[in-house]
Amino acid sequence: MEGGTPEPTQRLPGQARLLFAGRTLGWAVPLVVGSFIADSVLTESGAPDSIGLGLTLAALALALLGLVLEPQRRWRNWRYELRDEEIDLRRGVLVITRTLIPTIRVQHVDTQRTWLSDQLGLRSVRIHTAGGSHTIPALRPDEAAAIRDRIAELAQRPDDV
Amino acid sequence: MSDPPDEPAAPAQPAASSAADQPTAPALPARRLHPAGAILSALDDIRNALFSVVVLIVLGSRSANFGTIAVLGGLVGAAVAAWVGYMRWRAETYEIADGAIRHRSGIISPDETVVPLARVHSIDTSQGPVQRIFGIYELHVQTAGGGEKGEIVLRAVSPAETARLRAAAGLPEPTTTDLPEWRLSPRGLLLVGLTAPQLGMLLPLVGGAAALIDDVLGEGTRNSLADRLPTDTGGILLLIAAAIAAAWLLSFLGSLVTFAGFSVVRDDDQLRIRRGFLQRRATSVPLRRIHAVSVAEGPLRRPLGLCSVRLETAGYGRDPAAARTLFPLLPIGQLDAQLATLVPALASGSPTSPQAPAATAPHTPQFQRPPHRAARRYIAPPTLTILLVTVAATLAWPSVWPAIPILTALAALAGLTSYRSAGYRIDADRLLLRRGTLTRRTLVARPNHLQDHSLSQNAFQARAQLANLSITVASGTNSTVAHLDSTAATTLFNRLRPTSPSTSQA
Repeated sequence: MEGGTPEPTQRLPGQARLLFAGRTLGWAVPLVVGSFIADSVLTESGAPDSIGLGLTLAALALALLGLVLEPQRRWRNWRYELRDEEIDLRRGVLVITRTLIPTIRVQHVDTQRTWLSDQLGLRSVRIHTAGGSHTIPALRPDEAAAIRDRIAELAQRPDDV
Repeated sequence: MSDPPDEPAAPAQPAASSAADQPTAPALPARRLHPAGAILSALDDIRNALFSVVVLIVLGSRSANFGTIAVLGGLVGAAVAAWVGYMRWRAETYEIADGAIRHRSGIISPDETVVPLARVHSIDTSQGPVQRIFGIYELHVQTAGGGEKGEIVLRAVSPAETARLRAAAGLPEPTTTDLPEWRLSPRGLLLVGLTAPQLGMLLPLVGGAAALIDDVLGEGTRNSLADRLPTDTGGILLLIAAAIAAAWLLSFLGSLVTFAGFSVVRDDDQLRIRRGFLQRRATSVPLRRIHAVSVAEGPLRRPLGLCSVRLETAGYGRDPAAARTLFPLLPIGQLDAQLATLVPALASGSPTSPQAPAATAPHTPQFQRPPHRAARRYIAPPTLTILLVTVAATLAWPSVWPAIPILTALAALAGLTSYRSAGYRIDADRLLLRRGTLTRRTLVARPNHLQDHSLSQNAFQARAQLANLSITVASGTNSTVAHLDSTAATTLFNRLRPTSPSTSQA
């Protein structure tokens, strides 16, 4: 993706990894618990032990990937940059996506916090356009406020939506 | 509880009230809806009560003097509905004062909606059966927020009152003479119905209806029906054919009702779209808010060279598809000419159809397709998925083995079709993204009015130097062309960058 557009350079703070891992818990815990239940049900019904064991191990491996590797890669790949004309976002784990949002298309910007992000001292910034919204998932509160205000200022220019 | 608000109760006020004539402060004193509004309101009450009425009838049908009770109940119910409708009609008023349209309604807790005139971009009309009997309109006061339903809805307003309201709001009376216009011909309407895309979606509905009928008929009937169900292949095929025919008929009638009398006119800076058989609607859409159109060539329409076109408009994104239709059916060859008359901002430059002769404009940019090495990436995923599913199904039920070659071949064909549809073309004023399998969809957008655009790539694509490009327009519609050559995709990505505020304001 070389040429014309300079690559975005700003990174997310390191705690973002913990935030991503925390989100993984949302599906990893049910998955592992489910695999334990499936294992006991299979054993009850007289299936060979290896099937239940394999299932549990697969679930554990998947959860481990989601808790360690996925947050690390997501954090490593995340970049953003604010320019006068555009907001540049690059992110992804397996698929790297680069998005440009013209600042005059921004309708409003808000910062958001959840219980987990509060514990980690993080905020997310959500950028709304007429076509949808984009999120920078983890920023330090002062950065988040600065970015929110900067985008809001850039978006002041009139648009004809 | 039934006290109407302290309004000057004068439904038959003199037409030329002095306030309405003041040029500095346009005003229309508070007035009520046309008396038919009371009937509409009463009908609403009856419709809302219908469920409880049905329950009562079912319960009451066991009683001996059921007939008397039913008649009495019906009369009392109708009287109550009429009275409530009348009270509601009395409580509902609208006025123009202090540069705003004010609408009050509600008996117990009156609501007041105030819309500043500066924000009103049009007053649209709609006519249901009741309105047509009385020759009146349902008015929708439309603001920049958009949407088919207006900010304020006045359900019964006479034509004279409509004109007065528009005049007081400073809106021009819509004219239809000498304006660029497109109409759906009766033959076109028939074709819309015959080639309706809802066909596939209706099949489950027919199944659902069958299940419902089954439920209503009860177990005894169901068993006897099940006994009579054909079990041989010919019978089953006949049954499927009947279901498809029924779905087709429903979809056909649905399209007829929705698109009967469809016409579009361009009046200065807005489009006015009329449609509908039972419910006649007239919607206006400001041209500057049309950021894109999407062209769909459905499986039944494409062989006939026909397409349908939908408006992609900021604020109307969540309306039903029919409300956003620009052309229910159009020969694809006429698309550019029609866009030029109705939506000029989206018409300039190269032809929409890649098949169009290049001789007409030799310097036009080429329609860019994904490279040959991308073909297998379009074909392999659906083919392998279907192959796996059919093989698994055969392992479970060996008799379905013929599905393996047939469905897999179809999946490969679908993949090939989507490879052949995919591509883009960009020139100064418009960007075309095309994709699709059964239905080929082309998004025609103004490149400097995109909400965002993205380039994405996974590890496999990176190795093959391919990338996906996607754009989002103001209606929220997103279009992606997959597996483009990554250099070409990057060039396009860079070209779509907002350069400076002045160019994107053009």
